[in-house]
Amino acid sequence: MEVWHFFFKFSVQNFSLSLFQASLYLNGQQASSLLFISSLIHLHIKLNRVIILVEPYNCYIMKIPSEEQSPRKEKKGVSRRTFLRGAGLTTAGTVALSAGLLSFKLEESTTPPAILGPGEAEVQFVVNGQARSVWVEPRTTLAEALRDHLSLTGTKVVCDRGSCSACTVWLDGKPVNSCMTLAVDVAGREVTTVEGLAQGGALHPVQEAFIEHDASMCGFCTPGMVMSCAALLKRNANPTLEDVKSATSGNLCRCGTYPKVFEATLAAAKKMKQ
Amino acid sequence: MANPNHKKALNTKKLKLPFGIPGHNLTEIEREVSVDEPSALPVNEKLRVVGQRTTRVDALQKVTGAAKYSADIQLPGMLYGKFLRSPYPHARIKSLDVSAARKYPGVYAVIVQGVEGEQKDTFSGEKLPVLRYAGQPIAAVAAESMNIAKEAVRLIKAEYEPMPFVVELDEARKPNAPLVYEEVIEDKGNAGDVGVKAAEEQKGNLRGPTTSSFVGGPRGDMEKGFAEAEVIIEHEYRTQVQTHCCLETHGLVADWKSDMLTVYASTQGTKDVRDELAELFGLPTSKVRVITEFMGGGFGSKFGPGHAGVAATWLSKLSGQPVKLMLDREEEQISAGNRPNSHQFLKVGAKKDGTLTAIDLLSYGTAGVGLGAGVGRVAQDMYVCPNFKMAQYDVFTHAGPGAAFRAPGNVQGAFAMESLIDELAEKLDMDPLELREKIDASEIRKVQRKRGAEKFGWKRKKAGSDPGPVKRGIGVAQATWPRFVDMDSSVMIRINKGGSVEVMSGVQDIGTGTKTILAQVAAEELGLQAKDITIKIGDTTYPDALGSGGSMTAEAITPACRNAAYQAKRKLMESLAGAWEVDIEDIELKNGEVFAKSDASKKVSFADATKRMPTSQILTTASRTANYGGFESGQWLGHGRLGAAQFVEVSVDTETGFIKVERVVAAHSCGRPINPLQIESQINGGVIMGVGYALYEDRVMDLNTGHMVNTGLDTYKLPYAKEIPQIETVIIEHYDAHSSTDASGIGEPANIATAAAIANAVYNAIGVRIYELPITPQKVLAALGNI
Repeated sequence: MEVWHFFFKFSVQNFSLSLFQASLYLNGQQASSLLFISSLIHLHIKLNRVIILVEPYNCYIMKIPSEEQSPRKEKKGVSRRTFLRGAGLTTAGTVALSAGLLSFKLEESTTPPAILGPGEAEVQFVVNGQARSVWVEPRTTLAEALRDHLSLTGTKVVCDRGSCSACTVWLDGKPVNSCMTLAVDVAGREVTTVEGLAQGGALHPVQEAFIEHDASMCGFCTPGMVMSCAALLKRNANPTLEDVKSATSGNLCRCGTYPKVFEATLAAAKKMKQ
Repeated sequence: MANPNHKKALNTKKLKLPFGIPGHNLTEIEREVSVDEPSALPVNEKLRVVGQRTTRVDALQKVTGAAKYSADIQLPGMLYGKFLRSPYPHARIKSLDVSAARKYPGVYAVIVQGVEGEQKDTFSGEKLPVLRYAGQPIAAVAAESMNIAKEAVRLIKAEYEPMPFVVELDEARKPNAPLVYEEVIEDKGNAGDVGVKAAEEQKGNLRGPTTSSFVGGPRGDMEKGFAEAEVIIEHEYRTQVQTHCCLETHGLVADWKSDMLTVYASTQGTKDVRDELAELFGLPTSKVRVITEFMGGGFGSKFGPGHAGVAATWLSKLSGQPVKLMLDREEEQISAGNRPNSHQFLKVGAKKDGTLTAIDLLSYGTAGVGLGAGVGRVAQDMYVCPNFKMAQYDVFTHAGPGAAFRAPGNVQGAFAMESLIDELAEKLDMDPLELREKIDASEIRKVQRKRGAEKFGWKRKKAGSDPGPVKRGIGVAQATWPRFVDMDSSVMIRINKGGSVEVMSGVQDIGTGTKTILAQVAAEELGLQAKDITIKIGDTTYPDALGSGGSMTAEAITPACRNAAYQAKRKLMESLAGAWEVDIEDIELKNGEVFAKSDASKKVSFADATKRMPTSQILTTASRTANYGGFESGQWLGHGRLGAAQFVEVSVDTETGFIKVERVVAAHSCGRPINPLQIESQINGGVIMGVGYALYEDRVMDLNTGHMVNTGLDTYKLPYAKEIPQIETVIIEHYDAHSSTDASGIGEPANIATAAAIANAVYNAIGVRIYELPITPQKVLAALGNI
C-alpha cells in the first residue's frame, strides 16, 4: 500500500522517480498488465514517443525529438536510437533503465517535447466520416473515448488487454484493437467503428451476410467480428476459409458463432464480386 | 398427487397430436386438454413459419452495434462502481478504514460488505466478513469516473490477518486441511448440480455424500451385480475447473429513485434479479424493474443480481444517482462462477454380450466456497443397469464460488462414463455403437446414432494403428438431458388496430434466440411472418417468465406464447364472425389474410381485419399450462429425455502432443425444432465449448498464494478461430405431445458429450487412454512415454 502512495505522489512531480517506480510495478504483482504495457511501449517506439508512465495512475506521453530536428545532441537527452537500443529487452522497466531514461530531465531537453497530461487534453479526429473532438486524459484508450465520450457503444470492451479483439475498429482503414490504442494517438486520423460501416443506409455486405447466416448469438463479439471480416474483404476479395480464420484469429466468441462467421464472410466475398 | 394443474378441466377437448420421430416411428396420440388450448400443431413439414430457418429478429441491431447491453447503458449523472477485493485466500480483516476513500474528490458513496452470507451479498457495513477466497469483495466505491473509483479503492486502508488456506481438491480432503467453514453451512450459492442439500453431513471440508438425484436413488444389489459381471472396468477420472468467460462481464446499472428501482442487468433471469433485490432492499416487487434488452452471455452463471448487482444498488441508494458496476475481466474470472472440477472413481461391471450388471460411482469436486460440485446423472440415467449406487461429495476450498455451467455436473460425469463405455466396448471386442445399441434403451439416441454415424461415415480402425507421427482417430459419445418445465412463464400478446402485433414477456434472450422463436410461434398462429411481430421482452414490466436455465426456455415460454396468440386470434375472429355472419370456426388466418373457409368472398387482409376490432387493441395473456400427458415428477420434469450422439475426428501429432479436432458430427433432438438455423448455432456453440473443455481450458491456482494465475483471456486458453473444427449438425424432430408447441431446448445437451467424444477419438488415434481433462500436449506426450 505504501509503495503505491509513494508512487502516486511522486509520479506527478518527478518523471525519473516515477519511471523507477514503474519498473517496480511491472516486475511486481501486476503481471497481467505486462502485455498491455509492453505493447504500448512497442507502439510508441514506432511513433517516436516514449511512454513515461502508464496505468494504473496515468500516462505521460512525449514526442521524442528526432535527431534531425535537434539542433544539438544532448548527452543526457533521449534519442530515438538510444531508446530503441534498450527496447529489445522484455519489460518496460528494463527498457527504461537501460535506455538511460532515468537520468533524463525534462528541463534539459533542447526541444521541449509536447507533453500531454496528466489532465485532459483535446484530441480531434474523424469518426465515421465526421470530425469529432474529445477532451480526454492521455491514459484514455480509443475504446473508452468512443464508448464513454462519443456514446459509440457498438465497440465492445471484453478483455481490455488486446487478447479478444471485441473492440476492433479501423484506424485509417486498418483494423486495430481500440483498447490497445490511446485516444491521443488518433489525433488527426480516421476511425471507423461498427456504427459507421453501413454506407448511406445500406448495410455492408458482411453485415448482411452475418444476419443471413446467423453469425451472431449473444452479439457481444459481433461488432469486432464484423470489423475484422469487413477489413479482410477490403484487402482480399477472394478469401479462402483459412484466410477468414486468420483474419478472425484474434476474435473471441464464447457462444461459438465461428462456423457461421466463416460461412457469412465467404458468402459476403462472393456477393461483393458479383 | 395434488397438482392444481392436473385437475381435470371442466371443459376439455381431445386433440390428436404428432407423436414420435418422423422417418422412424411417427404416429399420433390423443390427448385430452382444456378447451383454452390451441388446436393441434401438425409436424413441421406442414407449417409455414415454425420449423423454418428464420434469421434473428434482433440481428440487425447486433451487426450494426445498435444493440445496447448493460455495459453500454449511460444514464444522466451515472456513477461508476469498483470493488476492493481480498488479497488473501483466507484472512480476517483486522481493521478497515474507508475515510480517505470517502473524502477523495469525485467519490459519492463507499460501502463495506457485511458478514451475513457472502453469497447473498448483504452490504450492511456493520461487521466485516471473513475472507474465504482471494478476490472476495470487501468494499465498493462509487465515483464520477472509473479512474476515480479505482484510485479511491486504493485509498482504503485494510489490515489483514492471513490464515491457513487450501485451494486444491486433494489437499482439501485431507483430515488436517485448513477449514473453509468452521460451522455447518446451511445454504450456499451452488453450482447447480444435484445433491446440494442443507441437511447433509459436513465433515472437515467434505460435504455429503449425495446418493440420489431427482431421477432416483440407489437400485438393485451391487454385490450381486459385480459378481455376475464377466468384465469389470474401474478407473479414476479427473476434470478441471472451467470458467464461463461470458464476453459481457457480470454486472448491472442500478438506478434507485424514490418511487422505483430500475436495474439494467446482464442476467439470465429478470424475475430472479427483481425478486432478490426486492427482498434484500425491502421493496415490493412492483417497485423494482429489471431490464435486459440484450445480454452478452451467461452459460448458467448469471442468475440473481450477484455481488455486483447488490453493491451497485446499495451505492445507488446511498448516492442518489445511477451506478454502473460491471466487473473487469480479472474479477469475472475469479469471482463470477466456474464449473467445479471433479475426481471420479467409476466402476462398471458387464457381461460378455455387453449387458451392464453394476455401476458404482464415487466423486469429489470443489465449487470453491460454494456447493454443487456433483457430477450429475449420466451414470445413473443414461444406460439400463439394474444395480447402481453413487456417492457424490462436495469439497470446500478457498477459491471463488462455482456456478451453474451449461449442463452442470453432467459434462464432468459424461467424460468419465462415456470414456469407460468406450473402453468396455474395446474389451468386449465390440464397436462402441454396437455396445450402445445393446445397453441404451433410448429411442431418440438410437436414431441419432444411426443418422449421425451415416453422416459421419463411422468406421473405426484399431487404436493407434495409423503409420507416421500424425495419427487420426474417431470417437463417439452420448448425452442425456431432462425436459424441465417452469410453469411460471407467461406471455402477453397485443394486436393493434392497423395490424401490428406485439409479444411481451419478462423472459430474456441470452443469445439463444428466444426473441425469434417467440416471433415465429406467434406468427404461425396468426398467419403472419416472423418479421411482422414486434418482440418486447427482457423487462419485468411485462408478465413474469422463467430464468433461462436447464435448457427449458423454449419448452416453457413457447407454449405460453402460442396460447396467448391463440386467444387473441379468437377475439379477432369473434369480431369478424359477427360482421360476416359466419361461425367463428369457419374463419381462418393464413398468409397475412383472414377469410371464411365457406365463402371465398369473405376475405380481408390481417391489417383490415383488425379494423373491425371493437377496441383499439386486443390484449391477452397466457401462461405455460401443465404438460398434456402429465409430468414424470412434480410440475417441472416432463416425460422423456433429450438425447445426443456426437461423433468426432481428431488428429494427434505424437511428436509434439498437439491435438486438432478436425471434424464433428452432432446429432441432436430438442422436441419440435422451432428454428433450425438457431439450433445449428446453439449446437456449434456447445461443441466448441466442449472442444475448449477437452483440450484447453483450465483454471490454474497458485498453491503458494491461493490466487488464480490465469485471469486474462490471453492466459486462460479458449478456442479461437484456428481451433474450430468442421461441424455438421443433424437435428432430429421428436414429438412428445407435451404442450401446444412441443418444443424443447438445446443449450445444455449440445455441450455434454463433446469432451468425452474427443477423449475417445484421441484414444483411437494414439492407442493410449487419457483419464484427465484437459488433454494437453504434455499429457499426450506423457501418456506415450515421450517425455
